Amino acid sequence: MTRNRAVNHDTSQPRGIMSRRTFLVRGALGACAGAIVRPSEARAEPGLAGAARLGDLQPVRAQWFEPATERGVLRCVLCPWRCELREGQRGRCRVREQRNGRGVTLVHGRPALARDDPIELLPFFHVTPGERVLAVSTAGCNLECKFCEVWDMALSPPEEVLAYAMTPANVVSLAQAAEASAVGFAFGEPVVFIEYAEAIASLAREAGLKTLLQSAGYLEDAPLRRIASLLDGVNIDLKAMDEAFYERVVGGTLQPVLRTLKTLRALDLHLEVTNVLIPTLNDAPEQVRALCRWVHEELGRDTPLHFSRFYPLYRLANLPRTPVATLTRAREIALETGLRYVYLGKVPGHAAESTVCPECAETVIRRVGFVVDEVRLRDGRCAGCGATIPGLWE
Amino acid sequence: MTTERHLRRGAGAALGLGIVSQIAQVLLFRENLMLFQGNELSIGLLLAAWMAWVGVGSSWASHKLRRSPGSGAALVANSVWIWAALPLSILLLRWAPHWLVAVPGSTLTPFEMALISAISTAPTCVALGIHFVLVADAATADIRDPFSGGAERSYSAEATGNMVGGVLVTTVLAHQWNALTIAVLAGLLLLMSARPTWLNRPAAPAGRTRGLRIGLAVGLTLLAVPLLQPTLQRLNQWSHRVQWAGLSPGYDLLRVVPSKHGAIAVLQHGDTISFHQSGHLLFTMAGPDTEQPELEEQDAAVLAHLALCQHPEPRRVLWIGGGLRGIVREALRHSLEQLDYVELDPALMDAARPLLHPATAAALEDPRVRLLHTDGRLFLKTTSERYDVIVVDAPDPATAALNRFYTLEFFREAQSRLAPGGILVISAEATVERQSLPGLHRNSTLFHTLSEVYDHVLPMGEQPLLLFATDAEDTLVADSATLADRYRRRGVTSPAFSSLQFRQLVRPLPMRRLYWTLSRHARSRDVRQPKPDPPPLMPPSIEAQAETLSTLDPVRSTRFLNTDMRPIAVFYSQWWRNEQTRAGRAAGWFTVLSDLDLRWALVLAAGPPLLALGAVLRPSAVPRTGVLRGAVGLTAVTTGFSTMSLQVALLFAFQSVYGFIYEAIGMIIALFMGGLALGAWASHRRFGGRPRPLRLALVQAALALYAAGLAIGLPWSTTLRQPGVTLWLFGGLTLLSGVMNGIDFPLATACYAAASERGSRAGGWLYGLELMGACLGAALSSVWIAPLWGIHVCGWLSAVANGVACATLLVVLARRPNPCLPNPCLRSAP
Repeated sequence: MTRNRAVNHDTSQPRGIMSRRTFLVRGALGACAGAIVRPSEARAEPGLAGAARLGDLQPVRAQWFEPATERGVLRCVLCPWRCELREGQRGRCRVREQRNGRGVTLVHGRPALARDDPIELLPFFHVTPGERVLAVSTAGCNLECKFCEVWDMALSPPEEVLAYAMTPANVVSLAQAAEASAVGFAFGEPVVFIEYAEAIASLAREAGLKTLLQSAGYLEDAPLRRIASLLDGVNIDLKAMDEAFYERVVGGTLQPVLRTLKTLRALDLHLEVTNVLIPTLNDAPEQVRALCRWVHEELGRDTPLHFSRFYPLYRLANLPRTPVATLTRAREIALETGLRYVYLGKVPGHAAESTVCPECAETVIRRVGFVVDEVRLRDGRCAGCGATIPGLWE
Repeated sequence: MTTERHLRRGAGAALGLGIVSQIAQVLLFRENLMLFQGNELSIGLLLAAWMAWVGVGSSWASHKLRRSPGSGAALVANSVWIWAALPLSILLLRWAPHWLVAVPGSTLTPFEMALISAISTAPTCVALGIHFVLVADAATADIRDPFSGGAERSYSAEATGNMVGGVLVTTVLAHQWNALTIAVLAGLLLLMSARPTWLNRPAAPAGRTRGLRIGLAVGLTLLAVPLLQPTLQRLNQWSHRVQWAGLSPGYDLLRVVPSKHGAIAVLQHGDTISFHQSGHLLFTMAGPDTEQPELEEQDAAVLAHLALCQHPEPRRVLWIGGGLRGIVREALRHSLEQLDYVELDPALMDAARPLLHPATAAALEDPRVRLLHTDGRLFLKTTSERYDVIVVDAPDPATAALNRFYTLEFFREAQSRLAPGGILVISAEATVERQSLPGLHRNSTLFHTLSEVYDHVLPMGEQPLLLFATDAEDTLVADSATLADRYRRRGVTSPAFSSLQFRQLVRPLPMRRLYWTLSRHARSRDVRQPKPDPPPLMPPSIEAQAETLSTLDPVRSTRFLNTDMRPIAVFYSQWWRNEQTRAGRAAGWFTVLSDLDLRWALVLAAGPPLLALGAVLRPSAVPRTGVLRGAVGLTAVTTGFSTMSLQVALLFAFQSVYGFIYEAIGMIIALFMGGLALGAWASHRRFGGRPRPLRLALVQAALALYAAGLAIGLPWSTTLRQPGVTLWLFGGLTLLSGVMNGIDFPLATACYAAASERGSRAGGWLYGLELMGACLGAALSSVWIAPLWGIHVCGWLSAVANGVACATLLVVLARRPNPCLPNPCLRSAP
């Protein structure tokens, strides 16, 4: 609570929330626009999805809201920001607000992204290699990374984002139609559409699909435990072992992410960790070593760790890409600290994309980029020496 | 002191002011651009800030400063201020990244750029504006006749100085000295040019002693420059290190190489080398010690193999830009017969050559590679070669110069140089889900523009987006197996690429969605072109989609075809860049500008003549001289507006038609300034500084006709193919534009002086007004009118502006008695 007040100085007016005046002005403009804009026809794809009209939001009552001390104010307890919202105000995630006295989400059933990809792309390197996952995501994010790859979706309010109209059942049907073996919540920030993700995950499990989550892990403990109970695997983006980096570059704090990782490990979920190495911002050897030690000590030596290459984009468009030597050095540090599965991402052709048996040093899964070239695993064991390789292999 | 001697001294001081002003502009703009990462939008902001501050300075000075014998001393004091302010501004701008750049590598918002532009130019520009008034004032000091032409001659001499300064700094000074030394020299020149006026101050010692003291001071200063040069050089290097320690902490600055296209900074991090031009990251390459250069330069490998595998048998390839980052090395793995690599800036090659990885250096020495240092478009216009594949590996079309490689006319030129079955490849930034409206506008524009020229266009990839275009049937391949087969059959092996990667890069469903989105956007009947519906999750095949395109609504060609005359992709690219600094929020000035209808300008244009008519019909409401002052002031604003608007139009058109050759562009600007000086001189000779309001109205009418003629003629100029003819034609048109605008100022000053009792200070006031108009013209024409409405519309708008000024003046002159006769009070002033 104290931390929330420190971050969210004016709780009566959190970021992204409309003032009454703005509301009136936008409302008037919207009415004018509505009078002259011809609404487009929603195209339906039977059984899968329809295209939602831009700005056609369907508020759905959300969980994780509780009354705040001040009358008429609701507190969202989904993530560490714990935004306090008056009527009509929206949280800093851009998608949760108080409407008619109730907390609602604006992105339930409105994925902006629904695509089937190799599971390796999320990235999961220890989950059914070569199979496909249907990944969904919506507008909104509770962080503001300056190196966000999907900034035009995640850092935008849902009114400005093109979306599909897809019920949870539609998503599962689409996954089955695409012959995917899993449903994933990835590319944006699934925390902000947690209710939708839970509904999909629940149906997906019934349909025999795996459920995967890729997230920055910036959420509170109770919602984390709830969604974790519906998941098979999680990949958490640990952006740096540096509180200052989280403040300056990510727009959040480190400790909640570490708490999430520890909780997930305690829940015995399949867990992988990703770290995007950004030149001069989080690639110092001592920072990398601290991150590897923490992963080793708190999550275990068998936790797959992905060092991903940064390419200049979004707000960091003027920062050169990560040298391969920096990634290689980070991997060496990780191996030195005792981690056994350390990968390099976005360097197709590098040997460190493949999974190597830590016992016999044989390559058990050979990858080029996200394409699986060869698998030498039998029942989750190395085909050479029979050592167990941790993961979800079935 | 005779009148002529006064005028000569004033003209000398104005000439010095013009030279120093131009040098200061080049130096401060370059320093600001380093901070703004070469963003061309900032040039508009800088120009606006520059002219606004100079206008503020001259207006303030014309209001506050009184003619007095001490004005010579004020001129010297002002010169000393500029001398100090210019180098200090440069040093402050180099130190600024330490407190401006929150996160290294991050971009500044337009608001931040506007603020920095305003702050960094203020100390120098306000003083330059004051200087003009002081110079004009000094030229007429002790002269009883306010119509002796001090301000007009100053104007003419300053314009000449601008021309000389521009040529000096770009062709001589920048190659000889660093920015700090040039700034100190410029300050000295200003002081020297002010010397004769200072000598004329009443308190000055008489005769030879006075001259001796001044001469001694100047001589000592001149002597001090070579002595100071090593110190200035060290200070320059130190300040560069400070600058880059702020811009990119953690990187080693290897060197800063001067280049006419913008200073090149070479930085090292680990074993990689990065090149920044004007602060903007150009590319990163493997250094000489990199163990696996192919992995390091993987983006180049992906582009090279994807592009060359699209052609069934590429033999002759033209690669425009990008070759230093491993492209040439990777492309040569495809058994090519000839690879022509065009790199515009030889300074970039010189800076990179000693730092190249041996494998890259060897590839550049390969006998099949022909390295050409010229403008890629100029080369395409003049070459008789034919190529199997032409790849444009240039940055996004965010500037007018870069946009020339993405226009309809360029695509046609490339088409004429393609061998049968040949392919053109271009690339552009994109985002994964194409949610950004300006990003979608821009990339859809590129798709539709290519489709206008080529029979088949295939988009591919997410970051970046690649667009392949050809006229040949069944050439473009959207199938990873075929591409992988071509790669294998050619026996290509690369440590950075394998045939397996085609499966990752060429995925059917994302490609179909991409084709759907790009091909169907820009066809809405809603003029604002809102975001389209998202593509179907399971779209039809690309072939099936292509067949149905003819059944859809037509593309709105006025907004989604990128042409030389309407470089709309520049507008969208700038809008997109702006959106990225605003955390994805779409609303903003670009949205407003995009939706604004230019026809409102015509409604606004009716305002001044109607107001003048009202004043004429109700003579008691406004004093008659006040109406004239307003009308003459309006001519100054419209002349400033059309000066910059026509200059922008001519520059855009020239570099589109001719090619971006720095010296040629410099010559065009110099010709314009020369024309301005010539026009002002001719006007003064012809009209003798006497108020001739009817002539002023006629000049405005002539300007309007000329601008309208340009608006009609410019689109025709794109058909020119002979570089020599283009150069002469644009040279002549530019000179003429300058002359036409130059004629106006002396006439306006004389009319204003007659009506205002301001005497010579009318020049400063009108100078300020003209700069305000110029500021508006520069900003609107370069950012909005030319890209969104077309280059020729700059001409139409100038014609309207000058026509309005002419009409207003004529309405005022219709009032009897004519208020424009020289003020009898002024004439009898002691």
